[in-house]
Amino acid sequence: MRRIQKRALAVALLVAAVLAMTALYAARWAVHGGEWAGFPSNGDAFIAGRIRAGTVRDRDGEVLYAVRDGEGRYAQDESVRRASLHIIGDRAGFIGSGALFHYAGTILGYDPVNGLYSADGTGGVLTLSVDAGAQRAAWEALDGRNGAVAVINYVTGEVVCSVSSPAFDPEDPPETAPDDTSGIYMNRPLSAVYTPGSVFKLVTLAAAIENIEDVFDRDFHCSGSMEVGGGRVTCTHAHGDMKLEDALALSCNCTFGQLALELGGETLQKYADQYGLTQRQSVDGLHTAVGRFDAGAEGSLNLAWSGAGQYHDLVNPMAMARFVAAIANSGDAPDLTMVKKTALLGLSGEHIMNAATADKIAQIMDYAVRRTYGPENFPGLALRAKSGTAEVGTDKPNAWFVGFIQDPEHPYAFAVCVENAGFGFSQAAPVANAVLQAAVR
Amino acid sequence: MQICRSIAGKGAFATELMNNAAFFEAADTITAASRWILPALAVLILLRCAVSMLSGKPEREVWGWLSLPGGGKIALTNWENIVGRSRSADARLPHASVSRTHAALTRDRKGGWTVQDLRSKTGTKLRGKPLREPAAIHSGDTVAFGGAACVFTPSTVKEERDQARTRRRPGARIHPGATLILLTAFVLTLGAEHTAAAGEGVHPAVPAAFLALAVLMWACYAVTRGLHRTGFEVETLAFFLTAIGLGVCASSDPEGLWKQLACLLAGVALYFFIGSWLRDLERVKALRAPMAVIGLLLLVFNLFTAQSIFGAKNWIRIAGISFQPSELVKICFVFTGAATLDRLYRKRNLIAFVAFAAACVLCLGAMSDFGTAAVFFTAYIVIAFMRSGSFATVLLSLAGTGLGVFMVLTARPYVLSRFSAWGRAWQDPQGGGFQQTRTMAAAASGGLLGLGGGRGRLHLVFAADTDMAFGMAAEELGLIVAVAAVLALVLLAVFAVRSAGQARSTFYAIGACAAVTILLTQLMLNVFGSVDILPFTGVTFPWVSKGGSSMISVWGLLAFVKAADARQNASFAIALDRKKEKKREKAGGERP
Repeated sequence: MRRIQKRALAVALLVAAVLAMTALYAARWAVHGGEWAGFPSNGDAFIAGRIRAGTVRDRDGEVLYAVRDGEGRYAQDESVRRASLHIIGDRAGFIGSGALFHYAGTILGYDPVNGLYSADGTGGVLTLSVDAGAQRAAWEALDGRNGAVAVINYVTGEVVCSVSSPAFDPEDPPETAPDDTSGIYMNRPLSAVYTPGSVFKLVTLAAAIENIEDVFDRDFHCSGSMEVGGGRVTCTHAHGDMKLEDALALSCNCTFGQLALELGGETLQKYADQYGLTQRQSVDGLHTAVGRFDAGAEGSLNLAWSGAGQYHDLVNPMAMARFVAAIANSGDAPDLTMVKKTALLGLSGEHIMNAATADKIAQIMDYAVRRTYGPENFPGLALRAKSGTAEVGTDKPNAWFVGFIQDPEHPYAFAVCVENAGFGFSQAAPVANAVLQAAVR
Repeated sequence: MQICRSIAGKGAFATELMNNAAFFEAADTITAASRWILPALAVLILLRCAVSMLSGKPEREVWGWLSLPGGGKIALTNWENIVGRSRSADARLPHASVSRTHAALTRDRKGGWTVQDLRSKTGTKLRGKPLREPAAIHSGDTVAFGGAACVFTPSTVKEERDQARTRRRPGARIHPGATLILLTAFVLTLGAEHTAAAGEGVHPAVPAAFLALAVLMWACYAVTRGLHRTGFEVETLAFFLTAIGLGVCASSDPEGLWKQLACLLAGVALYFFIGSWLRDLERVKALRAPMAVIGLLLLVFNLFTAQSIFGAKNWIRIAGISFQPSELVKICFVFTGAATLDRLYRKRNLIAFVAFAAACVLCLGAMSDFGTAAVFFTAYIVIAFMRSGSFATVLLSLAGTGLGVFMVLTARPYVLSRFSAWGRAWQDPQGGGFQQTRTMAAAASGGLLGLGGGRGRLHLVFAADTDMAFGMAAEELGLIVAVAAVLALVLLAVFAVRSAGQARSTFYAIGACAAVTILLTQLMLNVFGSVDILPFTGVTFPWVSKGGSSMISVWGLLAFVKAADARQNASFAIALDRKKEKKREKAGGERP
C-alpha cells in the first residue's frame, strides 16, 4: 500500500498542471480582461455591432456619444458629429479605429470586479483627450476640402484634435456601395500618407545641423534653380544670398537640395527613421500608416528632391505631429493617446532627437514665422511653424502646415494637410490657426 | 417518468409561489444581491470541504501484528500489506535474507487473513512448511520470511471495535449538515435568480430543477446518515458542481432541464449502486473481466451504429434519446484498470490491460473523438504507472502513442488543422479561434462576481453549454465561482491521492486515482481548451456541462473516490459490519 500511495502522486502532477493553468488563465484575465470584454463579437458588449451602454465625452465633458435606453446618440452639434466621426466610429461599424470599438471596455464600464455588470445599465464613461471645439473649428476651416488635422499635446501625448475629411453625419449615414472609393471611412490622421513637400526640410535641417560643421556660418546662394545630374532643382524665384535660417524661412529648394547631396541618402534615411516618420506609431495600440523615404542615388537629382520632401517621400500626419512635438519638447516624443490624462504621473515617451538640435530647429521655426508667415496671422499664439507645398503630379499641390505653440498652458504641436488645395501657407495655415485658436480658448 | 411528473408538480407549485409581479419586479435587486452571495457561499463551501477532507494527519488503522524473534512488533496498518526489506514495504524486515518485496499479507472483509509469497528468493514458510499457494494464516501462526521468523497476531474484534470508536470521524469538527445548509442556500439563491431573470414567462423546469436538486441533496444526506456515515464532502462537491451545471442549462435550454434532472437522478442512483457494489472486493474481482468485455462491446457497437453529431461519431440514438456510450465505458475502464495487491505482484505484466486500453483508444480515434481518446489515454498512463511503478512502461507507452499520433497527423492532415488555431485564438477570432475568443470575452464580461444567473449571452453561441461551460459559468456567476468549480474537482483529486494510502485495497486506491484522472483530464481539456491554453476539443466539464450521458458517468466515477475513503464511518462504500461483529463477539471474541 505504501508503494501505491507513492505512485498515486502521479495524479498530483495533473493537479499541479491544472493549478498552473488556472493561475496562467487568471493572470491573462487580469491583464487582458478589459480588452476581451470589449471584443466586438462579445454579446454582452455589443448587439448587432452596436455598443450596449456607455458614454463618450470630450476633454471638457461634452457628450460625443451616449447610449440611453438602448439607443446610441452622437453629439448634438452636427459639425462636431462630422468632425469626430472617425475617432468615434459609425453605427455600421465600417470605421474600425473608432473609440466605440477600440475603447469598448472603458465605455461599457468594465472593471475586474464587476466585469460589464452595471446596476443601472448606464455603463461607463470614456473621456477622450480631444476638444470638441477644436474638432468643430478644424472641420469648419477645412470647409469641404479633403485633408487631415492632427493636434497633440507635446508634453502629455494627448491627441487634442484629430479630424478627417471627407466625413458624413453619423446620425444620417449615406448609402455607399460596397466598392465605395470616396474614402469617407478612412481616418486620415491615422491611416493616410501624403507627400510631405517642404515640411520634410525640418528633417534635412536636423541632419545638417548635426553633420555639417559650421553650417550656420555658411553662406548659401539661390539663383532660382540648380543643375543636378542632368536635371534641375527649382525654386519659385531666386532667393539670392542667405544663411541657413533664411533658407528654411524662405523654403529654398536649391539650398536643401544641396544639403541633401552633401549629407547623402544614407544619412537622410537614418534621420527619417530615427524621427519615426518611416515607422508605424501607436496611439493606444492603434497604428498609424507607415511613411516612406527613398533617397535617390548619391549625387542624383532624386536625392536632391528627396531632401526637399519630394521624390518618393511620404509621411503620415499623426507621425508628423509627433515629430514636431519632439522639436517642441527638447527631443522627447511623447507616447500618443486619445484618452484624457487625469494625472501627469507616468508620462512616457521616446527621446528621438538631440535636445540642442531640437532647440535650434525651434528657434529657426520661430524665425520663419517672424520673417515669412507673420505673427500677426496667428494672434495670441507663440507659433513656430513650417509650411509645405507638396507637388502631387497633375493636381493642385497638397498644402501642409506643421508646427507648435510655445505656451506652457497649451503645449500643442500640430500637422495640417489639405489635399490638392494649393500653397501651404495660404491654404493650410488658416486651418491650423482656426484649430489652435479654438484649442487655447 | 413518475419522478419527473412529481418534480413538474413541484415546479408548478414553485411558479405559483413566485407568481406575483413583485418577485419578478425585484429581479434586478435579486441579481444585485446574489452576485455577492453566491461567490461568498461558493468559497465557504469549498473551504469547509477542503478543511474537512484534508485537515489532520491520516490516521492509520491497525489490523494485526508481526512479532519478531528479537522482541519487536510490526503493525499491519492495511488490509493489503507488502512484507519485505524494501524501504517502501508496508511491514519492513531489514534482514539480509528477506527479499525487497517478499510476501503479501491480506485481510478480507470477514477478518480472515491470507499470506502469499511474491516470488521471493529465499521463500516463505508457514508453520514450518514452504508456501507455494496463497494460504490462510491464523492467530499465533509462525511465518518465516527467508530467515526472519515472525509470529502473526490479528487484531481482536474488541481491539478493532476500540479502534473504530477512538478514530476520528469526519464531520466532528466541520459538520457536513452545516455545509449542506450553505449549499442549499447556494442552490436556492441561484434558482431564484434564474427564475426572476427569466421573467414571468419562465419555464417551469427552471424553479423545479433547483428545488429538486435541493430535495435530492437532502435525501442523499438522509440516506448517508441513516447508514451511520458522517462523510458527505465528496457528494457536497458534486452537488455544488451540479448546481452550477443546472444554471448553465437553465440559461441555454430551460426545456432541457427535465432531461438533465432525470439523468441526475439516474447518476445518483448509479453512484449508490456502484458504491454499494464496491464494498465487497470478491464480488468486484469477479466483475473485472465482464466489465472489460462490456466496455469493448459498447465501443464496438458504438463504432458501427453511431451517428456523427457535432463532429465526433460517438452518439447512439435509441427511441429519440441520443446517448454517448463512450461515457459509460469510462466506468468499465476504471473497473478493468484497477487491481488488488496480490494480482499486482502475481501478474506483473500489464499486457491484457494494455491491449484493452489500446482497443478503447483506437475505437475512439476511429470515431474521431480525440478529446475522449486523450482522456482515456491519460487514465491509462496513471493506471499503468500505479500498477507497475515503472517509468519505463510509461515512457514506452508515451513513445508508442507519440508515433501513433504522428502517423495519424501525417495520414490525415485535417486533424492537424483543428489545432492550428491553438494559442493564437485572437488572431483568428472568426475562424479557428471562434469559440475560444467568445469564451474569454464572456468570461471577462462577468468579472469576479458575474453578470447574474440567466443574464449572460454566451449561451447564444452554438454548443456553449457543453464546450464553453466554464465561460458560461464565469460570465453569469463570475470568476470566483468558476474557479471554485475548477478547485472543487482539484480537491476531489487531492482527496483521492490522500486516500490512496489508507484504502482497504490497492483496487480502491487505483480506482479512485483513475477516476479522478478522468475527471481532471476532462476538466483540463474543457476549461483550458476553451480559453486557448490547450487545443480546443469537445469534452465535457464534469457535472457542469450539459449532457445526460456525461452526468450519469461522472456520478459513477465518483463512487470510486468514495470507495477509497477509509476514514472511520465516512463512506457508505465501505462496510461497517457492526451487526456481524457483535454476533461474532458473543460467539467468542476471537475469529476462527
